[in-house]
Formats: sequence, structure tokens, C-alpha cells
Amino acid sequence: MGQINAEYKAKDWLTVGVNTTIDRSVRRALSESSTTSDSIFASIIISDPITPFIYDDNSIPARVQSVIDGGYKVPRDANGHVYGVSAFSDQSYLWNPQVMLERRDTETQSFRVRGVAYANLTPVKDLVITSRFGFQGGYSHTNTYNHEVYMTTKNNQAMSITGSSNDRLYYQWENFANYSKSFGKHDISAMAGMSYQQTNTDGIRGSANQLTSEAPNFRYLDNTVNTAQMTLGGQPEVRANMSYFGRIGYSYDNRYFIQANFRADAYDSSKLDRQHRWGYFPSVSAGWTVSNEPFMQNVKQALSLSFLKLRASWGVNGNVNALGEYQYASVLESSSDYGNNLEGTFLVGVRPSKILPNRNIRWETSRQVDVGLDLRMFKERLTFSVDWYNKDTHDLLTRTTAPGNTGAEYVYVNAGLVNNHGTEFELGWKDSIGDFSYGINANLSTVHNKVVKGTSPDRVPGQKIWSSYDVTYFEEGYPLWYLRTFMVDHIDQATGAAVYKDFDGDGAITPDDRDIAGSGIPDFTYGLTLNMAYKGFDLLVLGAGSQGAELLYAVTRADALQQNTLKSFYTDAWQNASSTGYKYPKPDANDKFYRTSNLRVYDASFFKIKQIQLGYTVPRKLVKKIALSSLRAYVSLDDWFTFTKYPGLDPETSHVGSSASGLGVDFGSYPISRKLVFGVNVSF
Amino acid sequence: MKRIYIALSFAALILAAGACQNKLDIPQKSVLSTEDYYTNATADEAEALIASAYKLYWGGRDVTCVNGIEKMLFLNSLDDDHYPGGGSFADATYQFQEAGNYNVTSADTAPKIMYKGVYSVIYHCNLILEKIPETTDERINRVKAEANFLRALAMFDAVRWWGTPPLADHLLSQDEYYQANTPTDESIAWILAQMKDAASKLPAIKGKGQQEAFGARISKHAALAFRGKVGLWYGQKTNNKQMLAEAAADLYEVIKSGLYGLVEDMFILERPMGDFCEEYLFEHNSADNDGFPGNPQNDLRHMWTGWPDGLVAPENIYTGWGWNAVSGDFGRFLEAHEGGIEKPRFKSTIHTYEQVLAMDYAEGKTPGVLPKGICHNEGYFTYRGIAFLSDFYDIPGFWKYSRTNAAMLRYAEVLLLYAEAKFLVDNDADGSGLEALNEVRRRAQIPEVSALTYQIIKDERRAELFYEQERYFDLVRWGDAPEVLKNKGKKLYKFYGYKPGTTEWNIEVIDGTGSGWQDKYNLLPFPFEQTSANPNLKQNPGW
Repeated sequence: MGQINAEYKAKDWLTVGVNTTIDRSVRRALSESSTTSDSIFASIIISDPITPFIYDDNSIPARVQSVIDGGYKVPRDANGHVYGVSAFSDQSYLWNPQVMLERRDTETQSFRVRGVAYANLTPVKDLVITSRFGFQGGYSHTNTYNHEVYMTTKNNQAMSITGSSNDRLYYQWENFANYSKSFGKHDISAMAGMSYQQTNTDGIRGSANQLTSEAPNFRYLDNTVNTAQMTLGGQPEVRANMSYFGRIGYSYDNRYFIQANFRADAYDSSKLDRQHRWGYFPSVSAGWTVSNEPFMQNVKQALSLSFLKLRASWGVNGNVNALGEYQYASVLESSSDYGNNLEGTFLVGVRPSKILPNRNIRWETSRQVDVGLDLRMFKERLTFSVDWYNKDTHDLLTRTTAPGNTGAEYVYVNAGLVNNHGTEFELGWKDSIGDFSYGINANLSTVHNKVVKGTSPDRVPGQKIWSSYDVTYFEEGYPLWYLRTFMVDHIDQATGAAVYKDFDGDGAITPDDRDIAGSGIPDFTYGLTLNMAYKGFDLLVLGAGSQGAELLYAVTRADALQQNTLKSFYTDAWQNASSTGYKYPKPDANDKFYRTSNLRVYDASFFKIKQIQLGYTVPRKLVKKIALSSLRAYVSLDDWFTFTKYPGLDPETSHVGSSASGLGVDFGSYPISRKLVFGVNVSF
Repeated sequence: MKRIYIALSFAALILAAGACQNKLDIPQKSVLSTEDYYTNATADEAEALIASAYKLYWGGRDVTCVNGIEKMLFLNSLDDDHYPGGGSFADATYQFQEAGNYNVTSADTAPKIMYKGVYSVIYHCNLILEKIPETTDERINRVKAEANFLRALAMFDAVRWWGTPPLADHLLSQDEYYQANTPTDESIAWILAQMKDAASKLPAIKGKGQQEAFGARISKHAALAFRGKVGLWYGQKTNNKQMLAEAAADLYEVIKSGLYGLVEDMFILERPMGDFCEEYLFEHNSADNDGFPGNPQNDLRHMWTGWPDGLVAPENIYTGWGWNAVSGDFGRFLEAHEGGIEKPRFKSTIHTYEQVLAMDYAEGKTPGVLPKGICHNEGYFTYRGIAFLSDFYDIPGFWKYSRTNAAMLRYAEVLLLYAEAKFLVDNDADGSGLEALNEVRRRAQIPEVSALTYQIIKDERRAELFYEQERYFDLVRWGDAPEVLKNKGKKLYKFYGYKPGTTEWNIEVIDGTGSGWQDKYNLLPFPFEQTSANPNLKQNPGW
């Protein structure tokens, strides 16, 4: 990685400059998917303990020996020993974790240049015109080799090789003018400008299943054989968006501030139809620095107060990120997936997309009000601020079921209203005693989230677990994508069976007998930062926590009994009619409600010490001798300590994929790893 | 002053940049414009459209197609010949277990997939019929006749499920999106009219056994046979003699054509050896190049319906997920009906536990049931539709695809439909219905009957059509469902092989949570997501 920066004052009214960063990386990665069926982490968790890691040559079970005798390439370690194959793997996707690790070699090389070039003009006094051109471009290449591995008739893969090359060029051009002027106690400022952003991507990828040789230095697409099954793909894409923005501000005597903003944004036609592409977003804010009032001067002294400001703002924001591409229009799609072999030859099929066109969809908008206060006291040693906000998100861009008789499956509409409100506090203290200086900062944010108006007349299901019920729902009057489960009323002491609440009293447990069991959204989050420095040594401690969120544990399939799962699911379960103190009913694969019941929902509150960093800065006198301007060495423990009662892996990362509806469901995402970091910062 | 000029040219640049709004007009790639494609469709392009319509309808049991695995297993779960199956009594609860328990809800998966699937076929066919201009091109007109037939067939599926689904007989304009229910009479009249029109325009196969040359497309006689099936279903339900007579005439035209016959070896049905055999009137062609593995979830039917993993399988069988389980009631019925378990129709349809044990096991492999047992089993195992390793494409990995064509209408069913229609029209005055039924019995190697009774017809249908999802609809239209299905799901059975030291079947009987038949099941529920998306769609009574 390298950087090149330069600035040049060409005339007294013109400055030009450039900043450029170059980086190059090589990456080898494992599957870190968030579901247990294909992540290596999950295979470690669900592997049963009775399968040996490798077999002794004379203890290979007959079922594995028959695979070897069949001439298949069973996975072996470097010494030729066969890796253990679980007796239960035929009934699941269970691979030996080491085989998951070794079955694929993959490497990604990438190169990226980022930079910005700018010019500032001052044609007349108080007016600055800026033109800024930012860019980011580069490529990445990935080569993957999948080894031939055969464990069972169900868990095996043939040799294959894939290669891909992706280019990306992004640029942003911004032009704006700033004007500011003071007349006595009046300050006015104005700004107007526009920006345009464009991303061009292109890529090609290919794969094949036959090579002239499978030796390591032949594992490239160059060596594919003509008879190989090959695939090719790639398509250039362009995405663009543009904005106009402006701002006017006025302040009087550093006491009263008022500002108005306006911006207009548009995306290219992949998001919204031409008619609705522009979104208009105004906002206003006002401030009163009470501490600058003449009448406050005595009060300030009496209270050791140095700064007090009250703030308020109102604004509108827009969002179209929830939209996929070209979702407002219906088109024909052509694919071999829809094809058919009617008369001996394969016909590539053509069919309409499943979207009901809706050209009326527009930006979803949020209106937010914010009121706040900033305070500094005791010679600026104490800082405090508090903010209260209330945000209403209207016209959510939602994919909903289209009336089926139209032949389409879904339609995008603007519907619903979600409210978020909360309070954010920040408190800081810093001081120094001789050579010792320290600082402490704490923050806390509360979140209250509620769906005020649903997007459809009924609750909308979100995430389903395995082959069971939906567990998250979007519904009027409830938090966003809350967890809805069956409720265990009690556990039958005689049989150990869970007895569920029959809310509708119809004598049977049905999907209607479910209720809110929690939400993946915390009640509040908080953080703590501690700084200390003494004669070149510095210490930083960072902590972060989340309180009040719930997670439904769905890492292991409750219906796949042979898989490993949490020990406490057995040790804390009812054992016999005289058991006491148990938390769970007897393990029962036939209980279809239990896996989506409140007993699988846990408090996911946690506090983590995210970082403890100790550094030492070599005194300037010493570093000067070796022509450096500064030199600092540090050691850091990152994500080392977690305090939680959550029984799963990592309450911070556990949720399904990246969609909001998977919030609150733990499917075994890759946890954040503990890191021990040594580092050196050098400036020349 | 120079700086002013520079500033001015700068301002001009900004304005110029502002004028570049049309840079935001980026057309979508890799899609076709609907209007142009249909208006200018060549014969090849028209065939690409109908190829995908067939795939939507039949798709080799693709999960999401109309005749997919969801429909198959859901309907099976509702009848008395099957238990849901699967890995446990809780496996895929919402899809099939609760159907087996008669605890269906309007949120179940199969009705959702069916509803969307049916109308996507109809919509697709409407596009072909309305957007491709009139032409004299024979190939395009054949595609149009096929589209007309397929949408009628899809509508028939919808009517059998829901009774009064909206009839989308044309491309809907925006103000017609929220259609109300259509009376059954009206839909049936429309279906019969479209099928009649299609049959008059579609080509017939070139000769007996010429299915392969004709291809996996709908033929004149297949269209007639389906029309007969529609007429019999609704004519019998509504006691409409004229409709029944017309059905008998349609079916007779198929029989009289001499283009179809029953295969001698019943074991080739639902195996690759049966592909394009003379018994199939309509099938989906599972070919090496039918698009797999482009869509890796295509055609998993034999993984679903393969034997459960609690059974130690013989060498040549791939254990699947154990759906489509056979009920003890059906096993006992078939043994009695055929007069023994060694009869070809018994053995090619199901196996007893002993027949499974007698299969070809490799040395060192102990046939039997694993200690965990097999849910939904009373000692009978399905045989038709299980997963033979040799029938799969030779591909590595967990997912396996069968080369077996998926047959949708067999000549055996045509003969039985005819026998029933004749019986209802004039008590089979000329004896041709009896002859048709006896043709089916002769192939099954069981004694012929000397006269038709309704019970004989009903039992013959039950014995012959085990794999074809007709039983539930039959029980409903005959009015036999309340009695036959009254205890459905109230008892669950688990099979453990032999009781230790004996050859007595070890069956555990467990109290289930099933509700048994309720009258609302005369029609299935419209999917809740549809009644809430479309306020004009009225839910069926009781749901």
C-alpha cells in the first residue's frame, strides 16, 4: 500500500491538489457463510464426537473401505491417512471439517487505486469554487481449484476449476461554490453544487472440469481439455446517480444559528422509473449557544461552565437501497433454466419475469426530528451531550405478493410506516496530572422501534428456519421483524413433553398459537472508552455493549438428531419423572413446535472489551537521528473478552444473512475472532 | 479579470454536467423487450416460449412448477393411500405433515406454489395467444394451440383445488388485477371449449409407439383425453349426463385411434426404460440436455420420494427423504385386490418388508431397519418412484437427478376414465367400458370381471393410479371422503423391522394430532397471501 499526496498553490486565487492511494492484496478465504450447511465453522460445530479425525490404516470401517475399493478418491491427510467419515453423514450435509478446509484452494489477488484531484478557485473575495474529482479503480482475479473428493454417495465433489476477473471503475465529480460573509455581528453563508457518481463494472468468469494434468502448476484455465464441460459468463454494467444540493446559513453574534439545506437525488433507471427518479429532501436546523449570552457570564463562572448549546433540527431523508434492479418493469428473460427438451433438441426458454410492473414506486422517505444539548464544564474537562430523536419512515419500499391471477408473483409497493425514537447520551472527562493524562468517555443510546402501519393487512413473514415455521414477522404494533414463536407453558413432569399455550383455545396447537418472544433489536447499546498516557506510553481500552436483544438459536437442525449440538440442550433437559431443576423438555425430534418455541429464544445481551491497546512513542530526539518524524510501537488485544449469557457463538454477529428479516435468528454466522496485534506507526 | 473568466467557464462546466441527466437512462441488459419479441416472433422464438410454458407446467417435478413435488406430496398426504413420510413425524410440518393430519391452513406451502404456478402458466400462454400476431406459419399455430390447451389444463388444476378461482382468460389490464372468483360452471365451460379447439388444431402422433419422434408435446389425442377427464370429473360431480356422454366420446376417440397401448412390463413405469413408451400420452422429457444442471434444484423427485434413511437400502438404491410413504391400508387393499403380493401390479407399485429384504444387497451389508425406525410406515414400501442409482445422471455431489421422464397421463387412466364415463352414461350398454377396464386388469395379470359396478371401477382406479395424485379428488367427487378419511392422522405408525427373534412386523402405534376429514376439505383453501393481496378473492367455505 502506498500514498502520493501533493498540493500546489498556482496563484493566490487558485489551489490545485491531488491525493492518491494504491493498494494491492492477496487473499485466501474459507467459506464463512451464515448457514450451517456450507460453512466450515458449522461443520466443526455439528460434527459428532464419535467419528475419529483420521483412521488408523487397520481400523477403516467397511462402509469407507468399500468407497476406497470402488476406486474413489477419498480424502486423506499428508501422510496418506484417511479422514474420518461420519456414519451419519449420508443423512445430512456433514463433511469432515478438515475436508471442508482442504477441498478447495482459492486465491484472490486485487489491485486498487483511489484518489482525488481538486481545484479551489477564489475569483472574488469570500467566494470559493471547488471542483473535485474522485476515483477508485482496480481489478481482482480469483482462481479456484476444487479437488476431487469422495466421502459418500451424497458428500462428494468432482474436480473443477474456476477463474474470474473483475474490473471496477468508480468516479465521482463534485462541483460546488461556497460563499461566506460577515457584517458586524451577522454571518451569512451559502453553498450550492452538484455531484455525479458512476460505477462501471465488468468481469468474465469461466469454469471447467477437465485439465490436461492435475499437477499443482497445471491448475489454470489454460490447461482445460476441449472435451471438458465449461461455463463462461460476464457482463459489463454501469450504475450512476446524481445530486444537486444547496445550503444557506445565518448566525448572529455567535449566539443564534439557523441553517436550511436542500438536496435532490436521482438514481439511474435500474432503480426507479424516469417519472419518479428524483427525490427531494429539505432540512432545517437551529442552534442557540446559551453560554455566549451576556446574561450567562456570571452564571458560567459560578458553575465552572464553559459552553452550553441547545440544538434542534428537522429533516427528510430518502432511500432506495431496498430495491433490487429494474424491479418496476416487466421484461422477458431468456435462460436455459426455463428451457426444455421437447423433440430431441434443447430449446432455451423465454418467459416473462415474475414481477408485476409498478412504475409508480418512488423513494421511501424518513422524517426526523432531533433536539439536543451540548455542555462543557470545568475548564473543558467535562463534556456532556444529549440528543433525542424521533424518526418516521414512510412509504417503505416493500416487496409484496402480487395478486396471483395476474400471472406475476410479486410487486414492489410503497407502504407502511415505521417509527424509531431514542435518546443518546455522551459523557466525557479528561484531565492530566503532571506527565500523566487520562480521558474517559461513555455513551449510551436507547432504541424504540415499532411498526406503526403494516405494509399489508396481515403480518408479513420474514425468516423461516430449516423446514419449519417462519419465526420473524413484520406486523403493525410490533418491533420490526420481531420473533414470533410457540410458547411453552410448562413441561409435563411425568412425560417430559413440552406443553404449549393454546392461545385461541381450540384444543390444538396450531400456527395461531404463537406470540412475540422477543426482538433482535436491542433496547439500548452503550460504549466506554478509556485513555491513559504517561511519558510516551499510552493505553487505550474500548468497550461496547448491547442490552435487551433476543436471538433464536437455530444453528443445528432440531430434526437432525445425529448432529452435534449444545451440551446444555441435553444436560439441562428433563431426564425422568423425578428430574428437577431442568430447563428444557425431553429431546424429541417429533415435537414440531419446540424448535420454534420461546425456549429456543435467548437473551443476547453482551458486553465486549473490543480493544486493549498499549503503545509506546519513542521520544522525538531519538527518532530524529534516524530521519523519522515519529515512531510508535503498540500491542493490542482485539475482541478478546466477551461477557454474555447467550449460549451460542457470538451474540454480536449472529443473524441470518444481511437482510433485516433475519435479525434475531442465529444460523451460525462466523464469529468475530480474537486478535492479538503488534504494530508500528512511522512518519517521515 | 482572468480569474473571472476561469470562474465563468467553470460555472458553464457545472451546468453542462447538470445537463447530463440522460446518463441516468441505462437500459437493462440480458432481457428482451416484451412487445418486440412477441410481435416479431419467428417459429423458433415461438417454440422457445412454449418450451418454457411446458417447463412451468410440468418441469420434471421441479419444486415450483404446477405439477411439482409440492403438489404431488401435498395431495398424496391428503389421501388414504399415503402417509406424508419424511424423516420424522415433524419433518416439513407445514408442507406435508399437517396435510396428512388434516390440519391444513391457508398459509401452507403447496397451495401457494400451485396458485402462483397455475396463473404463471395461464399468463404465459395468454401472452403467446394475444401478442403473437395471426399467422399462417404452421409451427407458430401449433405453439398457439398448445398454449391454448396448457392454459385450460392449468385452469382445470385450479378448479379442482379451489372450485371458484378467477378465470384469467385474457391478459389482464391494470384495472383487472384484482379479479373476483369465477363460478365453477363458467370455468369448466371455458376449459372444455379451449380443449376442444386445441384438439382440433393439434397434430396426432404418427403411429403407435411413435411418442419419441413426436416429442414431449401435447398431441391431439392427449388433448382429447384430458378433455374427457375434465368432463368426467365435473359431469360426475354435477350429474350432467350430456357432459359425461361427451367425455365418453372424447375418450373413445383416443381408444379408437389405436395410437396408444398398455406396456406389458409394469416395472418400466417411472423408470428411464419407460420413457416415451406407448402408454404415455403426455410426459416431460428428462434428457441430458434439458437444462440441468443449469438449475440445480430441477427434478429432485426421486430424492424426495426415495426410500427413507432408516431403511438399509440395497446396493442399487439411493436413499432419499422418504416422502410419498405408502399407508398400511393401501398395502392391505392392494394385496387383496391383486390376489397376492407377487402380482406385477403389487410388486411394481409397492414392496412388503420381505420383498425389500429379498432385494440385491452387497455382501457385508445387513438388510433391515436401523434402530431409530421409520416414521409413517407399517411394513410396506413404495417401489414406483424410488431412486435407482442407475437412473441418475452420473454427477457427483449431494443432489441427484433422474433420467426418468415424468409421465402425466397414461393410457391406463384413459381406459379407466372411459369405463367410468360409460358406466355413468348408460350403465355401459355396449360393454365397451367393461372391455376397457378388463384391458387394464389383463395387463395387471388379474382375472377379468364380467360386469361393471361402481365399486369395481373405484377399486381399479385406486390400484392402478397410486402414483398419480388422483385419489384425493376421486374420494371427494365420489362423496366417499367423509367415511374413508374420517380418522386420517389420528394414529401414527412407526416401523422397526421384525420383532426380535421373529418375523413378525414390529409396528409402534402412536396417538397423532390429526383431525380427520372435515367438510371444508371438499375444496382446498385459497392461499392466505392471495386473499390478502386480492380483496375481491373470497375464501372457500370453512377456511
